[in-house]
Amino acid sequence: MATVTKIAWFIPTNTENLQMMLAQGLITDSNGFAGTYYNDVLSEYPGFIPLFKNEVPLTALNMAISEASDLTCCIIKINLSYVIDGYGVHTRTDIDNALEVPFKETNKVFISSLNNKKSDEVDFESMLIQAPLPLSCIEEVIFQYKSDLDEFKTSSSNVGNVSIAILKCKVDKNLFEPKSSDAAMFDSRFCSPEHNTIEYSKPYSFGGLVALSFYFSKNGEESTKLFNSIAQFEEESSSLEYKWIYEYFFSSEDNNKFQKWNIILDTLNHSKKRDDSEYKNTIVEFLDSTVETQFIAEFLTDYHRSKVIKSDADIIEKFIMEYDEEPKKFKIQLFLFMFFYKDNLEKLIEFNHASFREEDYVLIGMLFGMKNGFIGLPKWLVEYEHLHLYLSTIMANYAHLQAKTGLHFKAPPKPLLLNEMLSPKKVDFISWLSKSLNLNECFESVMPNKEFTCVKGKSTYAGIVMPEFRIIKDKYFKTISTIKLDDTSYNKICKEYKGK
Amino acid sequence: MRWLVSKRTFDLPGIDELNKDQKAVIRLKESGQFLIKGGPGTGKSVVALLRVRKFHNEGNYLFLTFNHVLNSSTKQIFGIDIKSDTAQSWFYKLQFDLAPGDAVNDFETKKMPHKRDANGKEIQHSPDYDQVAKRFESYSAEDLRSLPSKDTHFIIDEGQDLPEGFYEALQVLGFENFFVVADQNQQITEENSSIDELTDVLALEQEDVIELKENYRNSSAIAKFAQLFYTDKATPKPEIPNRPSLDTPTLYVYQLLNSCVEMIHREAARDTSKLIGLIVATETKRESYTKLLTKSVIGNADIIISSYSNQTKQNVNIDFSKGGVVVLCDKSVKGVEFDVVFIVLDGLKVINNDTDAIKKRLYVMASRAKEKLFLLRSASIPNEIEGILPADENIMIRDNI
Repeated sequence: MATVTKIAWFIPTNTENLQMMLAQGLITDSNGFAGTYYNDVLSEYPGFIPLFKNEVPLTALNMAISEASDLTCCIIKINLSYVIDGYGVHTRTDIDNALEVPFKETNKVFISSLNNKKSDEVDFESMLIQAPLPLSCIEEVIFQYKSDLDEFKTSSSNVGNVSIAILKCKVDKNLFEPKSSDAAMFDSRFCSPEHNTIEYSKPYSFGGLVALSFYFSKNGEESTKLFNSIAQFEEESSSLEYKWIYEYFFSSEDNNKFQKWNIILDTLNHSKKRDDSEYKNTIVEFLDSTVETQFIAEFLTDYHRSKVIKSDADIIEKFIMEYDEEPKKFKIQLFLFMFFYKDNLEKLIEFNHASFREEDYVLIGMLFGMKNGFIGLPKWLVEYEHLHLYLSTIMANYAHLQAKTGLHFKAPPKPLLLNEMLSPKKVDFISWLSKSLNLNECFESVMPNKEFTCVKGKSTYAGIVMPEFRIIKDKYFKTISTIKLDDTSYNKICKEYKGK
Repeated sequence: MRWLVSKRTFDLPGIDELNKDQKAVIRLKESGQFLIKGGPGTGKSVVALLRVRKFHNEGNYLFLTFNHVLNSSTKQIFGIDIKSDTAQSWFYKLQFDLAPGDAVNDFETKKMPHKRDANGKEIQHSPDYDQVAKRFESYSAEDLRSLPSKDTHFIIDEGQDLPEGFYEALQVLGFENFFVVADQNQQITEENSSIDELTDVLALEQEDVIELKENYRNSSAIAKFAQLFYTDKATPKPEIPNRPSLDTPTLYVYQLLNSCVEMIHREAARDTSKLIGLIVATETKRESYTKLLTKSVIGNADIIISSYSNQTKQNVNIDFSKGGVVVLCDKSVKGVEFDVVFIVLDGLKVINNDTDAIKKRLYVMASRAKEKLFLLRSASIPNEIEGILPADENIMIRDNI
């Protein structure tokens, strides 16, 4: 008796498009590509991602390499168990029997219902899911030849923002030689269904923003709170600037308090080229357009043209003093200055200032992350343990929430937050961390409130008594904010924390 | 305030920063002959360096540049110890090593044959490639035992500055793998190759020539300014987005030289990881600016001032992996890029009414700048370059310091 296997869902594409998906952090239809796109099935139904059941039609395979003869085809196997809510649309019945099987009135498929279904339990061969899908839905990537897989690995290492660490890859020649007839990919009577349009710029900006707030969460409790709030789509912060950013991403009301400054966020949202300083021009033009902000435009222009004689340290110090005198003042001038002073994300990460507070780093980081978008994140940050898939899911959930598609994805493991690892009971870990990052002066040891005797000048307790570590918050912040935590250091910390 | 000074390195491009033409270059097969043409900042050197990465582990390649400065900066910035040299130095050594005889006793017969002028006098640094090719043809397999492997991949930057004879001589030796990047508008040598000549000498099919069009290096305002000095009709002008910019190049007319020095220092102190190019027209200017900048840098030890002259025949002692100010004559800057460029117009002259020649020089100088471009001119010295500078304030701002 033949065994009926569990359904496998496939997306045929080429390695160029696959690399772009990994870099942008989402599986999208062709409209969502953040860079060059090569023709494949992802352009067939705008707004949708086609999935093929168990085998890929030859037409779809050929389409993936139709734009250039030297492109390499690959097949993404999709794991639908990460889709916990929402519908797909099935596109055809078995092609050989197409004329005999009546076209169904409704093609809606509840995606969760497909979990663990066997091949003979589903009577359609392909379906569409509204884009985007998070990268956690990639179960594995299949190549026709080992040489194709090797070339994919090499070419991925030759670009700055393609991390393949999350991928499982294998070679299976058979999948590239479909058995059934495939004159058409989809039933000819199938019409493109309607979809809710995704405006991709915002999810990508949001991914960059959350990534940077994750990076700066190392700085302490306040930073961690800000990260947790934004990652959970919550507005829990008293910071004016946080509210401004939050409302830009989550509020549909036009009359919020910071409306007039939203052009700045719009500019950052739409400026995704790392080396392009054009966004500064747009910002200056905006500032120059109203009398009350013209002086900021003039200052930033002179600064950019090297005509401001005052040193950068003095400029920043002046801003900080103003904000100290008036703590409720909206810090837009300092934030804008930072874009003219530190013109890229890596330089912001390496920057620190003795008068900066925790929230200054996180909020400025959020704006820089937003400007770069997910695709502009340094590879080392994306390669923080679990961060790539976590951010991808956040972006996908944000995109579908904004477009009200009803699709929702299960969160993969959350990356560990340094501040949350510093539990007083984790004596060995904190001791190790303090030594590794030279943080000894940032902690104090507290002995339990138990009776002890003084034996030869030493405090002696009965039984086994463990001290607890306490963070000296200010010292910890001042020190940790000067430390750049790359993926090697972060992943080592996680490993040590988990006791592996 | 504390800076963590970052090292300047060759950053791999993001996949979204590569266009389809560049990706097609990256996907080119390993063996064969290819020509990549394009204007400054179109990413020619980037694809050449990615080609180097492709062969680096195997080691069967040689990266050749035209000038010492570019060779030195590439070696330092690339981050790995690549096999590179300047094309002429390498060729002179190859020719000498292959020629039979003893290095001391047979020096005269081993040395490079040079072209001769109308009076029969040898022209220095101008190899007679025809004669070299004949020599190469005459060598036995035994003579060629020290030759690099025939499957060596030659990756040649600024290939337009080498004459056809250079390529022909290497082909005589049996080399077949050439990856040449070139820009006809950046020819600065007397002996050079046009794009057509390179296509012929490398026997290229249409699909082996890829043109890169989009300018990635310069801000649009700088590209627009540089475009004014574009003289070549053979290759199309780089595509430039038509939009205004905060980065419009500025001509500062100075009363006191010291105000220029202060401005350069200020720009360098602002971000010590940035590389600032001060490009001058003559050796005298190079020396005087280097002295002035070095002398007045005292008190700001973070700023590194360095310089190099191709007339001294010394090694390039500039650390391109760090930021700072680099003072160079315009003939040494080809292929090198700077975050900020100051061009000193004093001393730049139109010779024999050849405005095309001066435009080419200005094109090369201006297109070195990635982010900002400033031109400096003394208020007290008449300057004949003024006449070819744009009057349009949208293209170049004029200001006094």
